[in-house]
Amino acid sequence: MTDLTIPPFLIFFLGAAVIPLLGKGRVRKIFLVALALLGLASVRLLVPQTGWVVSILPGIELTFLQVDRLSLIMGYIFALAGGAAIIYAISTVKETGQYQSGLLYMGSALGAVFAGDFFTLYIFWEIMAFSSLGLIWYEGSRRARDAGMRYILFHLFGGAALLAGIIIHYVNTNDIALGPVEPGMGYFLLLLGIGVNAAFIPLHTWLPDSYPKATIAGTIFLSIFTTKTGIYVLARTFSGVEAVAYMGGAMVLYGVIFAILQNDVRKLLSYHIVSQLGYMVAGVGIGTFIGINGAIAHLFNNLLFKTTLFMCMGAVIHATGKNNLTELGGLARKMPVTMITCVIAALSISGVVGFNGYVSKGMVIHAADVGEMPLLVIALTLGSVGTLISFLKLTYFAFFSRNEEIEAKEAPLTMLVPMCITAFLCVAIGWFPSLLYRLLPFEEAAFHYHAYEAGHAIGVLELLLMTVFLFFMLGFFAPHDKITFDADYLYRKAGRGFLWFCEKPLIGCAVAMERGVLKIADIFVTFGKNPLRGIRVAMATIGVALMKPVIFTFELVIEPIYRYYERDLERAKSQPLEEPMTSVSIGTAVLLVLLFFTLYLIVMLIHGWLL
Amino acid sequence: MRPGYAKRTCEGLKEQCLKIIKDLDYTGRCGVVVSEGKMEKKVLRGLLILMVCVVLVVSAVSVFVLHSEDLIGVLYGAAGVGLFMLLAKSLSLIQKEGKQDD
Repeated sequence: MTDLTIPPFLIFFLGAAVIPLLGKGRVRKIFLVALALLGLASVRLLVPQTGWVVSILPGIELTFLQVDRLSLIMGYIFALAGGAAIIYAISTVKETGQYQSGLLYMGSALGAVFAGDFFTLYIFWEIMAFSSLGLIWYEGSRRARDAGMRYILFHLFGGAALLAGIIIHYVNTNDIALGPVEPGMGYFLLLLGIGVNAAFIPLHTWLPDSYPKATIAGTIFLSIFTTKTGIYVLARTFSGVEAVAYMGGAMVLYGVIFAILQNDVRKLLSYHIVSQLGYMVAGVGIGTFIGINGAIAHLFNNLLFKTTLFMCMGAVIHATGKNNLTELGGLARKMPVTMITCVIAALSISGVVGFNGYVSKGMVIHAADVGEMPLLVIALTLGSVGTLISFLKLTYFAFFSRNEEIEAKEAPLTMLVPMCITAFLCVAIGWFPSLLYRLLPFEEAAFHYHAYEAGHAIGVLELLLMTVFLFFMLGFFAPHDKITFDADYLYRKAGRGFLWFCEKPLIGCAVAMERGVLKIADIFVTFGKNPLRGIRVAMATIGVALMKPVIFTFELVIEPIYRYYERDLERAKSQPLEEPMTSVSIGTAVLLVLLFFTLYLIVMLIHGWLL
Repeated sequence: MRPGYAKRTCEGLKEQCLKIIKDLDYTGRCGVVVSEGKMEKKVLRGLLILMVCVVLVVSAVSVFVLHSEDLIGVLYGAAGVGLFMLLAKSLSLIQKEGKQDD
């Protein structure tokens, strides 16, 4: 039987190539919807297999399609969330180039998760970085352009570290298959490269810097692929590394506290990406079956509720033209569907009982508990409190606080439909977690976890009720206009220092070197024009240099010789360059050449270079 | 019953409810508050704080003395809110007006 399986990335790459031919009308809209459905169908048709193997060099084969349970669940959620983002984009995106960027980005992310080796992964990794840059730059403002530059610099650094790690790993093991890595320099560089995409602290700053500045649809695409691909590769290569687990705990708390302090709604959500990635990184670091399941389940769920939240906030910005919580409010009646979907997503991300976040977060915390990591359990649990605080703040001040002046109307249907689908899936998975369990990498272990065990559910409810109560009672977390400096402040300072170093000492050094080289070249030119004069100048210069230090010690003997060299040097220098040289006969010249070749032959024979 | 009495009562109740909601606004600074309302609000706030303290004490006794985990969620919630208030206050020292890119 002929295997007709097509790698999903090809569909989106072809879509990106075809879309400029379709104009900007109805045909393009139908094509985009069809492409989203086709992408989902292509992933659905995949079965565990290895295919599309291309040999590029003897012993090196690139595998473009390696399907197993882990890559398959990634493919499902990428196709689903990406498809929703494509449909959502129809209302807000006009530029064909932006669609091309989005489709290339989505295709390369799918290529990365189905890559069977490190080199193929690297190829898609870099395509992802550059295509996603388009989604930031299409926003068009100077802020977006600068943020895009910082974004690509970070990703080029990460990509370089990843490539160096891959090469070192290949040299050491002669194996490029995607899998665990031996400790060493390659291990460190790979972790660094993956850490940039997975937003490890303090490599995370590109994320809250660039995502809020991208286009409305661009932010949704960005929130889906880059970081989640990082988590996927981390699960493939660094599962069970305890330091990675604690990095996850740090990310949870760090992301949450910075999210609480934000006023810009998309920046708040961007910090929450860092925080939610922390749960996934922790699950991967714990490394047990339930830990990996928890990480991947949370990745799946996170894509549903985070995409919904970004879509809702995109709709709010689209309708009001305002980004900041201090300017929003009173939208609950004006945008009821957006409000309901946003509240569902907020409850899901906060881990409220009955929603999908509760299932996957609980799984990761349970894995940390079973793995006897009490500090991690505390960090992850407190992270839930912070998440609820920031989403109470977001939903209350965007939709329910009083604002008589705001004018808005409900988002268009093409925006509402994907929002409703993803919000519905948040509730469906919350009520029927077995839907998700069936897709997880370790299915049997997943069914051993009981999300709705009474003690756990009551504990979570107590925690959430207490948080809600204190939030409203204390009134401490109201939004404000101030900005909080993150680690990127230090990077920018260091960057300015680096630029100063390049512009001042480094350029000064380069100029001095250039002058030196020109002087040497000048000497050679002068020497070439009149070799006899040159030899005389050189000998006199050496004589002067040698005599000068000892002239005062042996004044009587040395001084006349020194004076001779000095006079000779002056005379030689005053001699014009173009003065005719002393000529020798042809016979003498041939003799000199023969003498030179004889000497050369002797040297060659002595060193055995002729043997 | 006089005609329109029920309607007027409903409107009066609605006005009272709106006033209470206004007084209990999140920041407590938005509404125009009459002195009587302010007093009621203070009493209500005091009662709420007292209630929270009682719940916290009961939870702490349950967890740390009786070694039961039934009320541990309450302690986590309170500790979390306290921690994030503390961190937010600390980070406010390095906050400034303007945009991140300035």
